Amino acid sequence: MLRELFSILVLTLMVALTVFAATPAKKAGEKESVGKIYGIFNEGNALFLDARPFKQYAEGHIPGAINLPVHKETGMDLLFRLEDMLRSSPKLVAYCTGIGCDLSDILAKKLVEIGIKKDKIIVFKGGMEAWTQARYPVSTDTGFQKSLEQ
Amino acid sequence: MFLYAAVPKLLDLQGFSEAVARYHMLPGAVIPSFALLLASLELVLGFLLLTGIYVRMSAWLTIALNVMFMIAMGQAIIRGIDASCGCFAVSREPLGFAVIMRDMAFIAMAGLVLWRENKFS
Repeated sequence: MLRELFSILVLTLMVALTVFAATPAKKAGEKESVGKIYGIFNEGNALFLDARPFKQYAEGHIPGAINLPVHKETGMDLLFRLEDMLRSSPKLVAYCTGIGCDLSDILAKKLVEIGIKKDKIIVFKGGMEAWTQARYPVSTDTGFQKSLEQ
Repeated sequence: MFLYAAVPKLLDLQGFSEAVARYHMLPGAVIPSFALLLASLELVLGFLLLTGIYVRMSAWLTIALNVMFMIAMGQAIIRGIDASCGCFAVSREPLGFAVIMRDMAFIAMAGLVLWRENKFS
């Protein structure tokens, strides 16, 4: 019986390793799972960047996230003002509403354009939809954002 | 059933990891590995049950897995987590009594396999 269990576990491990090896490695800025993003959030060394318009950000965002709507002039201004902070952060997680929006991709592109290394930028494609669906914490506090904009 | 469930999960591991994450039972860092091992185990058990290799142990593990699924779904329902089942890849099938009953049917089927094995061995 134990031998059977061991054989099944070995087989499982072999299948898992084969699938793992066959799965293409993710490039920087590619889609990340909400579970992995939550892990990064808990590590506490990543800066979350919300690419949506301020109104949506104010309605609810990932706690600690900075609103950088770079599709607008105000967002671009803030991006340049926060350049040093963005450069010093070990990881940057860009997100917007969800799979259907591309504001996080635009933000990631702008970050690369100002010289931030591509490999530290993560685009969380699931965005707020995946985050709220997973019932992870959401903040409506805009005090920090307003202090940055002053 | 396990084969039918495992293949799409292995083809879309990220989607399956997200489904596992929605149950709020595991730390984020271990979810991708857990999802990979779980889908692999389902594939192996499906194959073994179909081919008649290590049937008894496969049936016991099938029961154990389904009990685990029922616990996971039960706690999600009790905690009011609005998650999709994630039973067959990234299906949006909602959690509910019907899904738990289906798992109980799978347990009964595995029990039947064990009973047959004991009877004819």
